[in-house]
Amino acid sequence: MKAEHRELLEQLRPARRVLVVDDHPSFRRCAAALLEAEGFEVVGEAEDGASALAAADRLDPELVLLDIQLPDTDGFEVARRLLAHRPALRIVLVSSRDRSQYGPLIETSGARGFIAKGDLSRQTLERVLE
Amino acid sequence: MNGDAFHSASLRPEAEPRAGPSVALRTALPVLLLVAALAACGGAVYVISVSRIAPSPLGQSLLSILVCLSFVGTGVAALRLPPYARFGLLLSAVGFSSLVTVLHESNDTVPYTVGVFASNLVFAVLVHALLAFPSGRLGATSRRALAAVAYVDVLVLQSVAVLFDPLTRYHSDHPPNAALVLSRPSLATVLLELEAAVAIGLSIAVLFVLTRRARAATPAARRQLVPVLVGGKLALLAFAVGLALAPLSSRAGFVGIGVGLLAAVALPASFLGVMLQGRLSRAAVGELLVELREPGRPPLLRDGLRRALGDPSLELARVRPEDGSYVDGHGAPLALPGPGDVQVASPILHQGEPVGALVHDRSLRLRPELLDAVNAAAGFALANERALETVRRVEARDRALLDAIPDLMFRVSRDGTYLDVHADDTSGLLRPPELLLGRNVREVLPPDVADEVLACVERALETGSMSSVEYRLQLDGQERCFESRMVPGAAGEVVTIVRDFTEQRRAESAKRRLAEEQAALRRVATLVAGDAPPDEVFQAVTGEACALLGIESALLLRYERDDTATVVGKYGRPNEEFTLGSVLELAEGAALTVLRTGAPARVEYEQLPGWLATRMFELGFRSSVGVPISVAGSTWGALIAALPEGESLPAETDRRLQAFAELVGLAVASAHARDELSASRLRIIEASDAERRRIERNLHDGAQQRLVALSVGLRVARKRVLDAPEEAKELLDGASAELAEALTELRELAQGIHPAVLTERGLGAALDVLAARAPLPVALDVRLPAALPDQVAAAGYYVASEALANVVKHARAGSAVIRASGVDRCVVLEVQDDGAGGADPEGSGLCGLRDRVETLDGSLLVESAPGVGTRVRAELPLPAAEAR
Repeated sequence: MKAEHRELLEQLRPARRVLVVDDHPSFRRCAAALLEAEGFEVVGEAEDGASALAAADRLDPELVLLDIQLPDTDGFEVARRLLAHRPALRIVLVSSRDRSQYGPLIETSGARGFIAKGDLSRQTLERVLE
Repeated sequence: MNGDAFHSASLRPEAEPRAGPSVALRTALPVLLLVAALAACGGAVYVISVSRIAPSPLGQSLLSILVCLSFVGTGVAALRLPPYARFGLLLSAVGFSSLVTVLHESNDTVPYTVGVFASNLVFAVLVHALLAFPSGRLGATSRRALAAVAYVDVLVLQSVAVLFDPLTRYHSDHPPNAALVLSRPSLATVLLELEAAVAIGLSIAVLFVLTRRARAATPAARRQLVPVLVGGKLALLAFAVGLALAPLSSRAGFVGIGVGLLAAVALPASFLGVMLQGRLSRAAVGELLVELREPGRPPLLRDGLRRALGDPSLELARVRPEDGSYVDGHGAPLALPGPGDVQVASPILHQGEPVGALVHDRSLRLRPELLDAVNAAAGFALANERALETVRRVEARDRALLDAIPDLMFRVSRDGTYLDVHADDTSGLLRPPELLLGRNVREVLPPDVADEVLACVERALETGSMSSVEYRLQLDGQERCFESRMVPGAAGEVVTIVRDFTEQRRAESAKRRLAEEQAALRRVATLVAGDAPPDEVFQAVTGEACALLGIESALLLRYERDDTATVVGKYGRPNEEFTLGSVLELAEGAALTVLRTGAPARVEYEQLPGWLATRMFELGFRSSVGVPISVAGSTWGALIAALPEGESLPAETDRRLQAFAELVGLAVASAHARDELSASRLRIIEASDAERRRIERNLHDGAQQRLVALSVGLRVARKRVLDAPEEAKELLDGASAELAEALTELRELAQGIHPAVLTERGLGAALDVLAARAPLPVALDVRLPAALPDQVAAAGYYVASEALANVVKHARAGSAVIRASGVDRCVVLEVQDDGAGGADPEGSGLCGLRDRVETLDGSLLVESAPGVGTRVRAELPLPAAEAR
């Protein structure tokens, strides 16, 4: 079933290899389900900053869905480090908090954009990535 | 009765009896009379000696001389006493008339005849004298009549008889009667017997009159009258008998007349006795004067006067100086006798002033010389009394004045000898008064003071006006201040009044000191009240303390641990050491003693071991005083004043330093309180922030994440519900579970923010829930008022909640107990466990609780000795209305 979807997605548009970084397992699970449903390939999941950096090295994702609040560090720091090695990496910051709480931090983080977790969908992702 | 009435009505008319022969006559007359008497006696002796008929010439001569001279001599003596002068003349007349009888013995016819004519004249003169005694005046008509009868009897009847009497019956040899007209012897005898009968009757009448007079006389008068009258009566009786015998025979008549004359001598003799008594009275005046030299009580003076005047009824009236009225010796008013009274009053004058009156028997007027003498003596006595009274009054006044003045009084001579000392309170004297008298100022006072005092004496004497000197003396180890005021007194001496004004000086300086002290304290207090930084207060205190106490150096130390102290304030020497901020290791000294005892301390460096004492001694300090600075019941530091050699501590140094120390304590406590308040506020803000962060984090990490995941999951499920129903179902199951979790977390979170049961059911119920939820057995002992103020209930809940959480997290306890009660306007909440103990009371959780409790003016106590469990006890005061 997964393979059928993936094929369909790949037929429709270029596949995107996604790394989901979030310390909350239920969100990781739902986000992965949603992304895959929308045709993304979830190459891996990470629960904190350190494992996120390691997974990125290992899995070479094209897109990182990066939670801002992580147990060991925050999403901005992880974004800075990831981009330091691969400037072309697309990073989308997510948080269950409102965007206004972070202000200019998001613009200066190098990430493509910010999506409140509740708003996560194909459309919001596409809008951020365009 | 007043003095004027006394003079005018009572005394002046009575001056008459003093009148008598003139002065010239009074001096010449006695001589003339004596010469005449002697001549007459000579004549009488001649007549008798040549007489042929004198029966006993020698006896008759002697009798004649005796009778004549006794009467004339007594009469002459009486002449010298004015009241008796007239009587004296009468006595003299009796004397002379007695000699006429001698002519009866003459050999010649004419003298013999004259003698026969006048042979009985002496009887009449004697009667006259007796009736006129003692004044010499006959006075009343009856007496005049009697006297007249006597003269008629012995002169007229006798003369008529002689005309007819040949006188043959008397003697054969006598000369013939030259006056014989007709010899009718029988007629002559009848006439002579008539004469004798009249004489006898007259004598009886006179005796009666005299006796009546003596009876009627006052005692004083009787004393004079009786002897004379008795003598007179004897003489008279003898005469009368003689006269009665005379007609019978010449011999018998002669013997009768002779006996009569002899008896008549009793009259002058008794009169001499009376005069002698007068002399004795004057001697009594002398005694009186001697007595009066010793002033006695008033009755003594009166009794002396009574004795002197021989008048037991005498009273002494004194003139009261205030109003001139008369009073007796006891001060009771005394009425002076009027003109008709038996007694009369003689005024007593002293230097022309009436000072009193003698109220005495009228008869004493007859002895004016005695009266005058006694009066003069009484005058002196009364004047003396008055003078004494005045002196006594002045003395009493002076004494009262002196007694009223609490000062010392001396009389000091020019050379500085103490002549008199008056000291009510001898504490101001260097020696007792008896050891000052006669001593010199130089022997008593320190040399410099003695110099000043003597200079002042000299000044007062030279200028003749008041001069004063101030000096200080050491008395009983205390310095006292004196002011001596000197006024020149009699004969090169000064009277000096010495006033001790030590207290005044002391009070003045104490007042000044107090004012300075209060000003200094006020300056410091102003700093303290203005929340000046403690360092500034410390510096101000050391400076002010030094200025106020007049000392050189002061240090303010704050005690640290292990017997060290930090110098937090400093004034004066030494410049290089004990600098601000330096930490001293305390050694023996004031600071260490204060630290150990918590009380003020004084030390002498010379006697102390240790580096500090040695160093202070090297720096020139010899002693120091330290007072503790107490903050919240413990000794926080000390204020130390150090003194160099030769300086002594001013009075009350401890107390005054203590006042500064208290201000320092206040400043420190206030600074502590301020710091504590800031810290507490900060902690409350931080706790509040942390709580917000926790809630936000909890929301974010919990419910929010779950809801976000749920939201995403539901969206995926909706997409999948058609094409992958199994997967959608799985997602929905997960979402359902996630939602349940989120709800639970939200509920717990809300519970954490403020437990609903606390709001709805109160602290007791909330504690039940806490106990029930705890993962270990928690016993409850809750006895709380039904309703508590919200903050108190919340604070109690959080104390219990946090303490219980700590028990669960740290204590490794088997069980716990929560006790809560409302006691004495206070809710006491205790959580005790049986765990390991050793909790840190300053840990953040407990610290937050303490802030919360202290915000409500409560207190939090944590006891957590290792091994015996932990007890957290919060006392939360209730507003008055809530207390039980």
